[in-house]
Amino acid sequence: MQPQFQSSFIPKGPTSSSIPSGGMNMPRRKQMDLFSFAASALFTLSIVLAGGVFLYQLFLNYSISQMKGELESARAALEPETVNTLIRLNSRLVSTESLIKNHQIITPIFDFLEISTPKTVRYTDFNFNNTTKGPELIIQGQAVSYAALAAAAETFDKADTYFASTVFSDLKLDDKGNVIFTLRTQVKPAALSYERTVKTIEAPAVIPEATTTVTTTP
Amino acid sequence: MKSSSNIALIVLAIGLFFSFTSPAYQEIKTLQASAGEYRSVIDNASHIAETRDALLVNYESIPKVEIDRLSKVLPDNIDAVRLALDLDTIAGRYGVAIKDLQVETKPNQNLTLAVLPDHSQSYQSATVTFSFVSNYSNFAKLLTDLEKSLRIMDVKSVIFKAAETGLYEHRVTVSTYWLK
Repeated sequence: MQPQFQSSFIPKGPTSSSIPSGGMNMPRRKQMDLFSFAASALFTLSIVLAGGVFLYQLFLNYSISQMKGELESARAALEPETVNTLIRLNSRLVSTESLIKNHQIITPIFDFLEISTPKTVRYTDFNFNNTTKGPELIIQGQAVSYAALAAAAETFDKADTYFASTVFSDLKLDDKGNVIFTLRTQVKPAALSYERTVKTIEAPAVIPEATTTVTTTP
Repeated sequence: MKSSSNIALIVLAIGLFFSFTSPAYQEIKTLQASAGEYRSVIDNASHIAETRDALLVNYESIPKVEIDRLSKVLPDNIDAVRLALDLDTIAGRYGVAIKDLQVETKPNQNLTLAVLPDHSQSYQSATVTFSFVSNYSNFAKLLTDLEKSLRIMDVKSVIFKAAETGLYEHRVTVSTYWLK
């Protein structure tokens, strides 16, 4: 009996037919299908999104154009001229109120000077100037004596509701022996307030004691 | 071949997103904001109409004479000729003649008076300088009338010098206003 030995290490017998056909190829095909599905889904999604965005954009533009029309109709119904008249009246009222509140008058200064100036003093130059720094008064005048001038200075000192930082300067005697002077003072804005004056018409502010009459005339 | 088709689809999808969808979406956000504003304004229109009607009733209840007086307090323009006429009328009451009159309008930002809270600078101002000769008594009366005149005039400067004749030359500067 001839000995049976395997002449080759290659096994004899059924080869490929015995191996299941899907062993190695199956996962790859599944992967390919999945990849293909994902690509198709992504592409479809992008198309749907683009279409949706495009349509929504169209819708918004249409809505806005519709609303523009509605707005124009509403604006016409409001009668802009009437509204403008009302707005202008409101501006006029508000502005007038503010202007009256800040309205300044200077007659209180003359009232003060008429009442408080001693007979022995006369004013020759009057210069009132309301600058951004505040109202300022510069008056030049003559007094018959230094005592008369001191009396005038005292009335200004007492009138602290009207004046601040009052300074008498440039004192000198003229040919007739009169004392020439320059008075410089800051007028308190509250003293010039029209609103305050109107409010105090029934209850007048305390005015320095009357000593004489007007002396601005020569 | 099939694999390359899939890649092409993905590339197309990404390309479409970045070239069209994303920019269009940004535009949509802007359009949405605009649409919201329009909607809000339209919703308010009815309220505005109601308010206007209520204000109109109030407006019509104000006598026309009062509205005319208010227009004199703060006119629509400086109207220098009318202003000169008003000053001359006031001065004429006391036998005073206005010698010269200069009107200088100020730039808006130079307003020194009140700044309104919600209507800042809704009026403009002009500086009016004029001179005249009168005695003290008439000057005081003229000044009083000027300060109380319907047209608001704030005295900014008064200069005069005593003379032996009793007639002084006065130079007065006032600020007056008109609605913008």
